[in-house]
Amino acid sequence: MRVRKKMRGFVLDVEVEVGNAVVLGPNGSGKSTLLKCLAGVYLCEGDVFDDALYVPPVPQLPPGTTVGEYVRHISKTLGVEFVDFFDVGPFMGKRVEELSTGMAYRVVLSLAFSTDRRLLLDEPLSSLDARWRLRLVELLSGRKFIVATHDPLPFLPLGPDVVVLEEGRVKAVAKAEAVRALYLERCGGGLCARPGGAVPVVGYDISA
Amino acid sequence: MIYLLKRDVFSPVGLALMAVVWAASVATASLGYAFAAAISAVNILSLLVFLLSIFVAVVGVVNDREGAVYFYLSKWGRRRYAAWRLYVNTLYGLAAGFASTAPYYVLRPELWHIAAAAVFATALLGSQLGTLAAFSARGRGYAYMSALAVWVFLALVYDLAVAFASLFAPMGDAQLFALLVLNPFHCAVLPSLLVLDPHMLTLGAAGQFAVRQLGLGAAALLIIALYAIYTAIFAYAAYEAGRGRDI
Repeated sequence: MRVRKKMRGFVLDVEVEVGNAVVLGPNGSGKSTLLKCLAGVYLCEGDVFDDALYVPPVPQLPPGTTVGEYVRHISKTLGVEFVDFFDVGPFMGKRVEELSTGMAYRVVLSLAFSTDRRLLLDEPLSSLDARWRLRLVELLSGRKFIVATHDPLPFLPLGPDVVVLEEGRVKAVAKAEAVRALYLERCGGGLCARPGGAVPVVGYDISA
Repeated sequence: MIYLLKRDVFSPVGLALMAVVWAASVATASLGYAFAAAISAVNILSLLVFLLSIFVAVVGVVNDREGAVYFYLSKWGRRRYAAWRLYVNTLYGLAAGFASTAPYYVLRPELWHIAAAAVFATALLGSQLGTLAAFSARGRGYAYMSALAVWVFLALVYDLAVAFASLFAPMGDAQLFALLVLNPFHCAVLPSLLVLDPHMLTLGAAGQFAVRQLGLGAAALLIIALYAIYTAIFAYAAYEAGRGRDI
């Protein structure tokens, strides 16, 4: 994929050959911009995936209607049959304003997975609890995807390429196996767990 | 389409404005059908329907951005999405305009076609301007503010500014008429007013100039042609803004 986007005070310039991918990088490194460019949400130079669907990190559902109405409208627009992948059936009758962030995100994810599009997921783990994180990874298996995240570990079993961005440029590219091996080597299989429970993302020196 | 009607037209903003237009329709109809009453009715309904159609268009675009636009873009791409949104906004702007002025048509059947023509023209223009304002704005707040600014300027401030400017820089009749038709909102309302006021008496010196120099038919044709040009330009600009800007 090749993408170039000039914004005020920031230039994203990415050229890398990858399939399914996990994009890492500190805040402001250009992960979301890259996904938006690839989905055509932003106008950029380079590649736009015609078959892509961008899923934003903080889901917003249009106000004033019920979840069921929203789901039916989007399903009909996309010409797909809605599949309740994230157990959103119980709140189909609720108004969208009544949903928590996580519930709304599950609605959006269910719609996204009901399509056959290449999914461009922006920080998909941030609004989900452990159960739905596992479900998300399970559903990504066998699909085309690019995920921008600060926590690549859950996605490594899917074998994606790992791209590290920094200040809008590719700093490193690696295979999932290499990143996993690095974790094992540096953390002894303990995934660098700390007493407080925090799991740091892989260091940005994986090319080293 | 029913979903979008409920979400956008029957939104709190849409409903509030429709209620205002509905009340104004009843009030203006109760004034009667004398010359001044009919002129006032067309002007007042046009002002309000213009605002309503602008805001219905804005609500449509900003609501899309909250949870729907990514799906639309994925399915259709930018060009088709921009064209579709413009079409839907126009449709809903006209529907909201006619629905909320219905009391006037029922209570004043002898004037319904004149009022309906003004409502059609202003709603069509307002839909294009509202879509343009919303596509050009980055967020919900900016979209509402820019839409309101467009309405305030074209419908309220413009005439005051022209009148104020004429105090300091006296203008001839030709210049006054040119300034009059430079405002697209006036071009939307004037053809209907011409039916009620064929000698353009309500336009003062500018109207006299138009009738004297151009003749009524030519003046009407000029105004309608300008209205069509303005509307086409705004529709194209709205399409370009929807197609050619980051979302």
